[in-house]
Amino acid sequence: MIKINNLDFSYKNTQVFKDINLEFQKGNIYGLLGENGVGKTTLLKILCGLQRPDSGICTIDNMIPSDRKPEFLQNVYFLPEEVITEDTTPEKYIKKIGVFYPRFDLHLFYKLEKELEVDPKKKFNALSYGQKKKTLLACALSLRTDYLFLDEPTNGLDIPSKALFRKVIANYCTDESTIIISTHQVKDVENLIDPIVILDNDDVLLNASFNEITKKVYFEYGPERLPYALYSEMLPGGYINVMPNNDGIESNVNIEALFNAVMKNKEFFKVNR
Amino acid sequence: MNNTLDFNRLGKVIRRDAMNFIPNFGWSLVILWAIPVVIWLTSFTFISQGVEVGRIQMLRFLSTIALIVAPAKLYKDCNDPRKGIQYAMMPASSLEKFISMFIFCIIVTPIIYMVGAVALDTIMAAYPGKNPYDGFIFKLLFNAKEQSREIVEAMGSQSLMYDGYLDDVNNMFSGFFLYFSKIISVILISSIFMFGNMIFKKRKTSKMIGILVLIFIFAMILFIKWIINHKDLMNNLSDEELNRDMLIHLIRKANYISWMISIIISAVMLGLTYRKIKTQKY
Repeated sequence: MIKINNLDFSYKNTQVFKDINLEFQKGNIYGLLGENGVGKTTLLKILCGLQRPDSGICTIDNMIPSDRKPEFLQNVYFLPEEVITEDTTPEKYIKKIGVFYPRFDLHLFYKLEKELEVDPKKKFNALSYGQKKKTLLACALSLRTDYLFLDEPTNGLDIPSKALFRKVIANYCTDESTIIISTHQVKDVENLIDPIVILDNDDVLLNASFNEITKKVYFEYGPERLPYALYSEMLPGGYINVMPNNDGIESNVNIEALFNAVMKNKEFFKVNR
Repeated sequence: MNNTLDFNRLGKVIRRDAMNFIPNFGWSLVILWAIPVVIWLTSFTFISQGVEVGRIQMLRFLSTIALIVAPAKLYKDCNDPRKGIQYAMMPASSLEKFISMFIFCIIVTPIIYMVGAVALDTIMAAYPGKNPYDGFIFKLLFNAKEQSREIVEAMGSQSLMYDGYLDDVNNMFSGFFLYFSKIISVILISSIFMFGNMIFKKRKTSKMIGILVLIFIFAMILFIKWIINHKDLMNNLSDEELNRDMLIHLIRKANYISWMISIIISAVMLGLTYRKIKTQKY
C-alpha cells in the first residue's frame, strides 16, 4: 500500500506539491490525471525514489522510496514516457535486468511479446517507436513487480496497439499489484483505470473510485445543456452533462467529462472528497 | 534481506557492468591499444634501437588516459535525468553499485589495458629482422630497480647527486614502495574522475580536467608565494646541510606526505562518489 502524508515538494522556487495526502490501495489500476505541469511525472518519480520530498512522508509497504533499498527496488518498476533503449535485442535486455527481480518470468515476456506482436530477437534499433514502447511494457510486466508506474504509456501507440495495451494490462494485473498510469489520453485507458486521481497545481483534487464518483455525480447524455450541470459538453448528437447526484442515479463515468467537471468545480470536488 | 551488501546481488551488478564493458568502452580501448602500434609502424622509417624506457613511459601515459576516460565511458548515463533512471532503479544497493564501479574503473580497466598493450608490444618486439623495438618490456614491468632508475632520471635531480645517490634512491624506491606508489596513483586518478563522472552530466572528463588545471594553477601560485615569503630560509640552506642523510630523509618524507595526501584525496573522492550514487535525483 502506498501512503503519502503531508508531502511537500518543489523544484528550486517552483512548488509542485503542498501538503498533499494520498493513498493507493493494492489490486487497483489507478489513473493519474492532471493538466500539463501539475506534477504527474514528479509524483511517480517520488514514488520510485528518484526524487526526494522536501518534507512529509511517502511510504510503499512501509518502505521509504528515496532510500532506494534493494528490497524496495525489486518490487517497483517505472516505465518513463520517453523510450530509452540499449544497443541490444529485447531478449538480451530483459535477461540482463530480469536477474535482479525475484519474480521475473521470461516465459511471460515471450508470451507478451507475442501478444504485442513484437519480435524479441530483433535489435531495438530495428524496431519502430511503438514497437519499442510495447517491448518495454512487456519487459515491465514480465518483471512481475507489485508496483508498476507507467508514464504516458500509450503515447506513440497506434490504435490496435492501444487496444492490446489495455488487454495486457487488464490480464496481468493481480490482486497484489498496484498500477498507476499517468496519462493525458484518457480515452486510451477508459474501462481500464479505476480509481482516478486528479492532480491540480500543488494539490490533489480527486482520489476516488468510479463507485464513489457516481455516488456524487452522474453523467447524463441528452439533446441540450442542462441547468445546474457542473459541466456540459457538446458531443455529436447531443450533450453530455455532469450533474450533482442527489438522487442516487446510476450512470457510467465519462473520464474526460469528469476531468473537465473537476477542473471547473475544484471546490465542489474538494469539499466532496 | 541485507539491504546494504549481498554478495549474490553484487555478483549480478558486476555481471551487468561486465556485459556493458565492451559495448561502452571497447572502441576507446582499441584506439588506445592502436596508438603504440601506429607509432611502431611509423618508427620503421626512423629505426633506432634500445627504446624500452620510452615504450614503458608511453604505455604508462596511455594507461593513465584509459583510467581518466573509463568512468565517463562506462558509467556515462548513471546521473543522466532520463537515461540514468534504469541505473538508479536497478535493485541493488548503492554500496554494491559503487563497489562494481570501483572494480571496473580502478582494477579492471588498467589491468585489461596493460595486458593488451604489453601483449601487443611483445608481438611487435618479436617481429624478426629490422625492428625499432629492441627487447621485451614485460621483463622491465616487474623490475623495480630499473623503474626506480627511471624515476631518478625523471626527477632530473642530477645536480643533487653524490656518489652512491642512485643506489640509495634505488633502495628507497624498490619493491613494495614502488608498487604501493603506483597503486595509490591509479586509485587517485580514477577516484577523481569517478567523482567527476557523477557530478557532471555532459563533457564530464574535460570539465574535470579543467578543474584540475585550475587547482594546479592555484596551488602553484600559493607555492610560489610561499617560496618568496621563505626566501631567507631557502638561501640559508647551505650545500653542507644538503648531505646524503638529509636528502634521503627529505625524499622519504616528501613521499610519505604525497602518499598521505593522495590517500586522503582518494578517500574523499570515493566517499563523495558513493554519496552521489546514493542521493542522485533524476
